[in-house]
Amino acid sequence: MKFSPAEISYLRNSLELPSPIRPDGRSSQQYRPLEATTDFLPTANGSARVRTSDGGECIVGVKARVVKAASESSLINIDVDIAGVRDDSSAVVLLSSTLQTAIQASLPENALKLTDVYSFKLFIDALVISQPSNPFNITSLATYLALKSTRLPKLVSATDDAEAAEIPVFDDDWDQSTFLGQDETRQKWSPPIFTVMAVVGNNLFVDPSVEEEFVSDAGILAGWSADGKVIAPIRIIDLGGKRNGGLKSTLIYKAYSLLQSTAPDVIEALNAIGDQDSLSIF
Amino acid sequence: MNITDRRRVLGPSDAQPFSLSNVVLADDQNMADVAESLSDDQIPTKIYLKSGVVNNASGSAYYESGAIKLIATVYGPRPIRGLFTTSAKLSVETRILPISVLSLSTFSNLASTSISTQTLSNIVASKSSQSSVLEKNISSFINEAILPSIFVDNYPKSSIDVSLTIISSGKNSKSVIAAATTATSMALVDAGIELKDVVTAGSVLLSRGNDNTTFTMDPNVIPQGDDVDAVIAYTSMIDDSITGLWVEGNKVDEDEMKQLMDKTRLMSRNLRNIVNEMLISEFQQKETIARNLQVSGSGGEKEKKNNEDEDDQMTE
Amino acid sequence: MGVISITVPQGARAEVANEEDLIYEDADSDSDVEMREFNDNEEENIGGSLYVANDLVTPGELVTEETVWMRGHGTYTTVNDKTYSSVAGTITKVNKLLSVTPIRGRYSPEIGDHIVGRITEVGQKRWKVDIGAKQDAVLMLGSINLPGGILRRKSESDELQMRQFLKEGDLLNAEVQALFSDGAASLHTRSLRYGKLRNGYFLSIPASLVIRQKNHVYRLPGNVDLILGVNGYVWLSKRTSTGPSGADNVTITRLEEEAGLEIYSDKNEEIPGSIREAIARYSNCIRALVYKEVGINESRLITAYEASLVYENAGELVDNEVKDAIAAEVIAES
Repeated sequence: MKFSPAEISYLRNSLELPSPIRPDGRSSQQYRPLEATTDFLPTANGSARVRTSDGGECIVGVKARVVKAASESSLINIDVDIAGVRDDSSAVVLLSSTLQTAIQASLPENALKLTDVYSFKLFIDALVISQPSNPFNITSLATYLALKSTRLPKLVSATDDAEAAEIPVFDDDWDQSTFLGQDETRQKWSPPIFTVMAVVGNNLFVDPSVEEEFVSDAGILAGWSADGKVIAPIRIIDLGGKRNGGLKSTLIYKAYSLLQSTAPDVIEALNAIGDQDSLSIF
Repeated sequence: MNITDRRRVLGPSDAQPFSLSNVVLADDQNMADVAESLSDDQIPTKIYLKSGVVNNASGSAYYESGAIKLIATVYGPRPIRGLFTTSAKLSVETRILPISVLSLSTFSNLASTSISTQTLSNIVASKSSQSSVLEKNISSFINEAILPSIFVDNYPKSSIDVSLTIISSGKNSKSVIAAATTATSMALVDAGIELKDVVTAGSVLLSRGNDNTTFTMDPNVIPQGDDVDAVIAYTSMIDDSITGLWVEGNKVDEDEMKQLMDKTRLMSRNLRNIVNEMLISEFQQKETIARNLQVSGSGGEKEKKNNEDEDDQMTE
Repeated sequence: MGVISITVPQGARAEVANEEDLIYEDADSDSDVEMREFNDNEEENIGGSLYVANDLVTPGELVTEETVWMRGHGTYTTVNDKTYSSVAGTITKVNKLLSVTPIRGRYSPEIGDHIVGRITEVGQKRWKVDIGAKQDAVLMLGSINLPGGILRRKSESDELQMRQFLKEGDLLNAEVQALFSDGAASLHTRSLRYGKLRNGYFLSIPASLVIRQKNHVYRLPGNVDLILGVNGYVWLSKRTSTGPSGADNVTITRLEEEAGLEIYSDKNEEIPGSIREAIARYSNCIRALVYKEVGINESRLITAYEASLVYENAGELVDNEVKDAIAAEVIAES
């Protein structure tokens, strides 16, 4: 997308003001309204669909498979597909490798463990159907919702199979299944959430629109754990702006306070969607 | 008349076929020596830098420090076809040679054990997707860290292509990235591209002990457990502002972030001083050569050879 | 104000409708969208009867079997000389011309349309302009006001420095001067009302929601000017004496002074925060009307703006419920 120099300077000047004015009047920590549903794919263990008001849409499906834990390098496998973007493009690689490392790192050791030998492995497929602005926010939110709605069947066979090999057997009753990370017998777990903030001058903005990205100095990518703490990977990324010079280190601290102030609201809103949907099932 | 087979490209008569059995890997013993020579809070004491190592590129630089050996080459600015653009486009390609430890360490730490040539050739034949993800991530980091320093508006309708070859490395990927950032900046200077500042980067590994956190710059230590691994690039001459940042680990609180930034800022300032010395001494040598050429005419040729030998000095 | 609002989409959990609900209305019901059987005995009306009582038709639907109509856009005929619709849209009749205007679709330019466009390409003596139509419009070098006034003649040096006037990405407002045979438009900016745009903010809406009017430049409360391009491209800017709404006051003698090089300037004037906020609010009002598919004209937009003042912060207008409320108020007023 191209912009005229007059538009760029109008947008930049508005966003650089001490009390910035965003083109749609949002506050710097305000997200655009989203629509989300969870658990809508009957053949997946968990799924979510998130839509943005500017026409972005992302679908995430989670499937679990029983594997021998020792033969797997990772119990999480994320595959991101952005419509119209090559699979080996830097945007896709950044998105999938960030989510992969962060989810893997946050996962408690026994969260997917079934027996001494066997374990679940999660295959997370994210499809970004369309996204005018940076796909990070929407994909991460959809992945969070999908993982929160993921249910794993109840194991009925013995968990101690180190000595005598035994194939795991599960309860046929789907009502006996437990939500991932909510099982009493395993450690509680909530997936991390990642967000991209746009930097313009000395100001930071959550959920930047296309035009805000275009006039930005750079983007800061960072995440939260479920308890609202800032987690890595933290990166400076290119949002398509001019990149005139680097960022002051104070902006990194600003990013921290912005993340910490928005985290509880976002997590609460997401969990509310998950609860609403899971209620409507039963 | 001498009849030769023109359809074939024949090598020299004394050519020997390439065999992987000739490849000797640096053994761990040597690497440990390098590690020991580093004090905890410093950048490696010895860095070897040289620009202009590739003749047919617009600019190039070679960087060596301990186990890390890499070459950055710059092609351009050169014209691009197609649509009109008002500023230059920067693209970075990274290649990690299969024999570098970084590439091997992605294969379940093969590097620490002795490798049979069989395994090695397997690795050479099938490059892991993991290492290509790392290559992509390195490329995008360098791109993001270097771009703010270039006056791209001075080069409309053109592209600047950087090609990065990591010949050898320690096990820690962040230390290689820091070195690669510095080398790329050097290569850009060598190519005569207008820059706001020379971007240099520092890398540090933060480990949380029971009651104290420690920082390591050793290129051979990889993060374990809850360790935080970071590489941060700065334009240290003009304003110490951050052009590239990549922190990995799990939770990182604000105070730890501050410490990471302080450490890397110091490192990139030090590195920046070295780069400056290096550039100035290289320039002075070139000037001497030119002067000698003017004075002694044909005799300059010999002089140049002597000077080139002096080039290979260690900057400390 | 909340940080984020996430809602379950409406109808996302809707049960599949009962089969009875899905059955299309029977042929003998008195539905408006009923397709009638061909009837030989039907009497011929003067001017020809239309087969569709409703103005809405779908592709392939029989519009009329009369041959008296001239078939315009959005219609086709087969060997039997009956007229069918080729798009989903509304039937329009102008004298003997019968055409179907599509509900959705790209903007199709008409001579005299006031449009906003963006330069996509600088070529030989001409610019290509994106106006949201099927093809890019053409703006000839001879169709613009050159700096230096009307007496200035274009020279070869002008051809070489066309990017000094307009370059890729620049926005301009112009009038459709002529149409080529392939439907592409030729534009001109030879009036001070038209020309390059600055001091403001651009947004794009569906062209079908712009209500065609005599004038498409509005002076809005809050010192904001609006150019509501017929093609759905909208420009909100600070009001200035030389801006689009001030141009009418310029006499022909002043035209020469006004047409200095600054008419092609990329520099914005000083724009106070209050105007920037008003522009953000107007753009949100426009988005709210678009969200509810309400056609936009000056009075509706002003109504929406006044209704929006209840919400102290313009950022509250991004919420779908607020958009609903504002659109409802506009519909109630008009």
